[in-house]
This record gives sequence, C-alpha cells and structure tokens, in this order.
Amino acid sequence: MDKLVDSFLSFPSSQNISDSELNKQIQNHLALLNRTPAATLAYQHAGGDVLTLLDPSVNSLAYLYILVARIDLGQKNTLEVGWRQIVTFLESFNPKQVRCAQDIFRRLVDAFFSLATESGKPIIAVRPIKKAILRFNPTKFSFLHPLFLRLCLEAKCYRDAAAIVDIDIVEFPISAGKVTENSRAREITYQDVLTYFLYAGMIYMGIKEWRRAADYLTYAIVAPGTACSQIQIDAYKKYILVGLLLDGKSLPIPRSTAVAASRAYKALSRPYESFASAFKAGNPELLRTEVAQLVDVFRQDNNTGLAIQCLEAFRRMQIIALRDTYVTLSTEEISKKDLEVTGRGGDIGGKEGTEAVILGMIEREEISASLSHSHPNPEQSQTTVHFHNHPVDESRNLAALQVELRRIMTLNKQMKTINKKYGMSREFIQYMVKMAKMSGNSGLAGMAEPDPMDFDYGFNWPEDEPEEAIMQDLDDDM
Amino acid sequence: MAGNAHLDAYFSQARSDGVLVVKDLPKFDLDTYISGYTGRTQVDRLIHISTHSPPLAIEGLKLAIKLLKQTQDVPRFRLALDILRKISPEDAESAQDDAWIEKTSRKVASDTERIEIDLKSYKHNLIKESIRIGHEDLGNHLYASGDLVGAFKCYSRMRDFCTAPKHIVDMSMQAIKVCIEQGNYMTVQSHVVKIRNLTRGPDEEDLLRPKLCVAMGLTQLAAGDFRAAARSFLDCPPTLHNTYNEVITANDVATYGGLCALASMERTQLKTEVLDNVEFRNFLELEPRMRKAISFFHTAKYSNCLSILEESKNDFLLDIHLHRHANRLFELIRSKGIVQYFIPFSCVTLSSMAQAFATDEQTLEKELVVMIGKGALDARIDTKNRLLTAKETNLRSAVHHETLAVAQNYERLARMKLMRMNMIRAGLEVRGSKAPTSQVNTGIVHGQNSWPINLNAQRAERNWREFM
Repeated sequence: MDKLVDSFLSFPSSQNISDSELNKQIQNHLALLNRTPAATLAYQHAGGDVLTLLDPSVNSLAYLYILVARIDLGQKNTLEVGWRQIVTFLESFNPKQVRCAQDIFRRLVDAFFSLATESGKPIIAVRPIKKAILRFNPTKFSFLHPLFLRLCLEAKCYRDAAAIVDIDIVEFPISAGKVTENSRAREITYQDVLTYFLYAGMIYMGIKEWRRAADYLTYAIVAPGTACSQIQIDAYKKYILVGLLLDGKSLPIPRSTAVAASRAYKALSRPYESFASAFKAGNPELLRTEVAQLVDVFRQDNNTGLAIQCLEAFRRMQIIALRDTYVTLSTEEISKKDLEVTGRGGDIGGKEGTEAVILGMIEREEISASLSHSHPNPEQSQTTVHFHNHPVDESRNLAALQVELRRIMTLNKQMKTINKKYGMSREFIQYMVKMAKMSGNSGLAGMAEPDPMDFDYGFNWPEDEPEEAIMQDLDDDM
Repeated sequence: MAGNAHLDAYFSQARSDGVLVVKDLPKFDLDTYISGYTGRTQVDRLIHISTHSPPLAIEGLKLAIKLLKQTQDVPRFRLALDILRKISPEDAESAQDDAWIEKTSRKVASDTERIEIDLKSYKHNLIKESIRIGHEDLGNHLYASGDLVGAFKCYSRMRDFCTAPKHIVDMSMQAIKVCIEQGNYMTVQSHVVKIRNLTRGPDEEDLLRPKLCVAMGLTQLAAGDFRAAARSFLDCPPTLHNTYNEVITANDVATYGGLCALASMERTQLKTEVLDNVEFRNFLELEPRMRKAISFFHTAKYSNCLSILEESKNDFLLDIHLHRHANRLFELIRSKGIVQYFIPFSCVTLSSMAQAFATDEQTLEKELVVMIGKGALDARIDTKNRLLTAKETNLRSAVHHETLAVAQNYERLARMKLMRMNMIRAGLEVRGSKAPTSQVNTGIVHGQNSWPINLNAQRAERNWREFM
C-alpha cells in the first residue's frame, strides 16, 4: 500500500511538463489504477487517511479512484463521511486528468447527486457541481450540465444556474462513432441535450428572463432529426406561453425546424395556439372562456404557473397598448375595459385595483406614465393616467448596443474556431475531394457511384440557404 | 291606409332578415332615373329599389309590372307580382293576370321549340355560321324570357362555331351582359380579358373600349378593389354616351368612378387624375354633385364633401351595383378625410374636429380609436383635455432601437444555427424509436460499435451538405 501511495504521489512527475508527456503519464497512471482492486484502494490506512496525503488538484486521478472505490464498497455513511472530501475534490480537481476518466468521474457525481436529492437538500450540491462545471470548459456540453440544472430547479437556485446557462454552449462531445479512450463512458444522448435546453429555458422563466428562455426553448425546438421528442413538444408548449409573456403573441416556429417536429408541434399543441390567439386578440371575454376550457390542459402539462403569469401579463400588456392610442385616460375608463382575467375576484379589477396595477407598472418602468388626481378628496377624485411619449433612453440603448457588439464578436471568434476545426476534419476533406471529382468529370463519377443519398440531400438543402448565408456574412464583416 | 300595414310588415321582415332598408326618399325621380336604362336592367333596378325602399316600393313594382308585360319574362313577372301582393294585397293591379301568364308562357314554349328545331336542322347541315346564329337566337330568346342560365349556356356554345374575331367579340359581349346580371363577375373578367387580347379595327375599338372599361370596373367594384375600379372607370372614354344603357349609364360611370376615387386616392391624385382628367370630366358634368364633392375633398372642405355624399347616400344604397359597397366606401372616404385633415396639425381639439366632420365628440372618439388601432392614423387621444395629438417620433432613438433589435436577432439566429449544426456534427439528432427506412439512420440506431465505415462516411458527408 505504501508503495502505491508513493506512486500516486509521484504522479505527475512535475507541474510543468508538455501535454504529450502528461498524456503518456496519465495513461500509465490510469493503467495502474485500473489494475488495482477496489478493496486495496478503499483500504483505510492505519496511520491516517490516504486522501489527506494526496492533493486533489495535483493527484486528481488517484483521489478520484479512491473516492469512487470507497463509495462502491462502503455504505451510505461512507459517503456522508467522505462528503467534505468529495466537495473539496469537485472544487479543485485537475480537469486535464479527470477528462481521461470520465466514466469514473460520472460515477462519483451520480452518487453525490443522488445523496443530495435523497437527503432532501439538493441545495448543498449546487455549488460544488457549479464549480466542477466551471473547471471544465463550460462552453462544451457535458453530462454535468443537465444534472446541474435539474438540481438547481429542485433547489430553486435559479441565480446559480443562470451563471452557467448564461454561457452559450458551442461544443458537444462527439458522441457516436468516435472510439476514444473513454469509450466505456456513457455517451451523451440527444435526450440529455434537449433536457438541458428545456431546463435552461425553465431556469430563465424562473428569473423572468423571457427572451433568454425563449432562446433556449428555440434550441430544443429546432433540434435536428427525423423524429420529434416529447421533450421538444414540452419545450414548444412553454415556448408559446413565453412568447406571450415576451411579445404578447406566440412566436413563430423557426424555419429550420425539422419537418416531423413542426408537424408534431402543430398537431399536439392546438389548445395552446388557441389560447395564444385569444390572448393576442385582446378580447378579455374570449380569453376567459379559453382559460376555462384549458385549465386541465395546463395542469396536465405542469404549465399552470406560466399560464397564470400570462393572464397577469394580459392586463399589463393591454394597458401598455393603450399608450399608442391615448395621451390621457381616466383609470375608470381603463377599468371599464374589464381587462382583469385572472379570475381572482375581489377588487383588483375595479378602479382602485387598476390604479394599483398601473402604479406598479410605472415603478417597474414597464410604462412611462404618471397618475394625477383631480381632487384632494379620494371620494370624488378622478384618477387620470398620463402616458408620456416613448422615453428617449439613448444611453441605455447605446449601452445595450455595446453589449450586443461584444457578444457578436465573441460569437464570431467561436465561429472562426469551429469553422477551422470543421474545415480540417477528415469528413469534410473527403467530401471536398469527392465534390471536386464530381465536378471534374461529373458524368463518370455519377455513373460509377450511383448514390441516391447524394441527390436526395443535394436537392434538400437550398431551403436553408438564406439563413446560412447570414452566417457567412458574419465571417466577412469582421 | 290598409296597404301600409302590409308594407311595414314586409319591410320589418326584410330588416330582420338582414336586408338593407332605406327609409327615406332618394334624391332621384324614379321615372327619370329608370328611363335612363334599357332592357332587363330596368326591371332589375326597379325590383331592387322596390325591395329596399318602402316609399318607392309600390310605385316601382307597378312600373316594373307594366314594363314586364311588354316582354315575355314570365318568372320575373311572377316575382314582381308576388312582392306587390305581399305589400299591398288590395291593389287592383296586384291581381294575378293568369291570362297573360298563360298566353306568354305558351308563346315562349312554342318559340323555344321552334328555335331548337331550327338549330337542329342547322346542325345537320354542318354550316358553322348557321349553327352559331342558331345558338345566338336561342340564347337571345332564353335571355328575353328570363332564363339567364340557359342563355349563358347558349352563348358559351357559340364559342366553337366562331370563325372571325368579330364573332368572338359578339359572343363575349353577350356573355358579359348575362354574367353582370347574374353577378358572376369572375366570368366577366375572363371575357373582358379575352376580348382585349383580340386584334380589332379602330372603329370597333372605339365602340368596345368604353364597354370593356365599365365591365372591368364593375368587376373590380364587386371584388371590393376600389382603387382598381376607380382606374377602370376613369379610363372609360366619353364615347360611352348611351351605348351601354342595358348595363350602365354615363351618370353611373361618374358616380361609381367618383366614389371609388374618393375612397382610394390621395388629394393630389384626385386633382390630377379625376378633376383634371379631360375625358372623365364629360362624365362628371352629368353628375355635378359628385364633382362638387370631389373638389370639396380636394380643397380640404371635408364636412361639405361628406354632407353632399350623405345627401346622396340613399341613391347609392338603392343602386343595384353600389348598395353592397356604399357603407364601406363611405367609411373609407371618411377615415381618409380624417387622416388628411390631421396631417398639418400636431394637436387638434376633438370638438373642432367633430365640427369639421359633422359628428359629436363621442362618435368621433370611437372612430379615432378604431383608426389608431388599425394604424391608419398616427396620433394619440388626450381624453382629459379633449385633444388629438400627433405622435412624436424620435428618429435617432428609433434607429438605435431598430439596430439593437436587428443585432440581437442576428446573434440569436446565428447561435441557433450553430447549435443545430453542432448537434448534427455530434450525432445528436432526434431519432424515432423505430428505425426509419433510410439506411443511414439504421446504422446510427443499431450499429454503434459495429457499423461499417462507409456508413459513417455517408452520414458525415450528409451532415456536411446540411452545413454548407
């Protein structure tokens, strides 16, 4: 055992060695670790815990193997005892080493995760896993992403999650076909990715960032493929409601959506569409009848909360719309329009209720308006809303433009790397060679390899062309 | 008067059926008005007026019956008589004239038989010209006896036997006439196009052009395309005179053209294309009220213009072609007037505006709200100070706003595309539980470890196609 500990400590041989050298050492080290039986690894040293001798940021692999071995052999309480150590490990491991032992790492995280959820305190696992994600390349999708978001949703830690989902994913692990070192690791499936998008959308809904929520739901909706997943349908239903909260109308299905999927959306979310059109029509009576019919649908889909928010937003949006027609209007007139559709009863639909709503909107800067009373005595007073002109918030606009500019520049950089990477990939080069052959002596090549797929897709792709062209523009612009 | 009770009953029934009823007397004198027309349209118009205007109903029907007695149109004679009997059963003239009906029906039947026999013999002889004339005779006969569908069929059959362009023109003109009366405007349009495509001599051209213009105009009017209708009527040469009285009079051209133009053209256009239009002026002179209305609109005296139109509104509502569109036209003219009125102001009191458009403030306000909602008027209402104020636009911030929106949209789209592309690249397509027929997909689902290399390559290649 001591010998083993020595060898653990002697890896890696030094802090600053070249990548290839490090890789070689990692492979040797892994071979050693895989050979060692779990019982030996989990063995509690008489003189003290082996783990105290190891530094998780340097001897990450050994640390990881020992932890997992203990979890495998021990019972629940081992995990609880080792809790501190796991947290320390998650917060400080060396990503380069751990990346080579993804499957072991995943077992550790799974155990950690199930402990946290079963103990009813998911919140305690949020921070360590967040740190773990950040230690890897956070723009690359990993199995940690959906797990983490689920944890955050359960713990209602939307802000923590937002820190992760704010970072746009630009890379996915190549899941199929590539035989790599860690081929034994469970692969990322499309379900993982779709759930991640759906959860991310829900996280943003939790903090009422409708725009970002809609963006993430869009990713799920346009996911490529030949079939439609239930996750996508759920995403689409939420997408409609989020669209209402964002714009007052349902957002369109993006053009690049797969045919099968868009057909499924249309067929399966009809109640939502009719709700959206009633909302958009601005007719409170119509909306009320729709809602009465749809209560069960919303409950089944677990969208009740979102739907209620829509109904609350309805009055606010109608009031905002009044801004385009009126300069001044009495609250009495507004309350006569009967815009209250949440059906909570009480006085919120009345004159005072309306006034309170408008006051709230002014405070949240949803509208730029002012209220004035005609008489000091509230009994006789008539409250008038004075809608200001669209406020000139030039500095704010400019700041937003700056932010956007930076975002696009980042995107552009990411795009360039991806372009380069894909440009050098084997498949692309093969494709180019083949294309060159085809165009060189098309007649011969066509006859030699009668490949129906070629023609099929050759005709298919132009429908996406205009949008693709935009992406090429991006490269040219900067 | 006992007749009145029946009259009221008839029209209240009509009103509850959703038929438009014009209570007040129109401006025109029925006799003079109807004497402007010839042929079937006279009776059609009389019946239309009688069924929509209580004060003129009896007079109109009597006149119609008198006219019908000179024709051989039994079905319509019966129709007119039925209505008259409902409205005033005691009237001496409402008694069923069985003798006439029987005599005429018999005559019609025997004539039909005779002409059909003639036609058959022509067909035996295989002389195209005779067959054509045979069909035409039959068509004319059926037309005169009130069988429009049959008449149209006969005219259509002439098509195969036309040997000269002139024949086609004749045939089409007949068809157009029948179709206008039937209200079948789609066919009218196709026939008009057909004639326009034929080559014609200048004499013929002079004769035909006005008719084609008004036929086209009527079609566009019926379709609610007022702008195009205005153009067609305005293009009509003054040589129309009374040549097409079985469909339309020159006065009608002025009225239809003027209203459509008012509803669809800008003020300057009204000046250049209507008032200064030498050819159309001939028509307008026949309808001085319409000309006045247009020049009032042009000089921005909207209330005068609207009041003139309002005075003649009953005339329009009793017109067989206009009645369906009169309200819509009025609405358009009005809202256009409001928009034009408001252009030079940044702020107007509602009261002065209501005065200018001869309404009260409440109705005006409702109208304005609808117009603003539709985006027709770029203004806002100040209900407290009773003002209508123009929207202030800040171009600079609007541009900033726009730019931001474009940039964000751009980023969003790019990200979406990128995400999609990366997912395809990583083999994360959504797949059905059952493997689809395509060979490539089967490979993905089943052969994760053992799939042949060429499948892999194929899949990758397909992905490239999607990216590029």
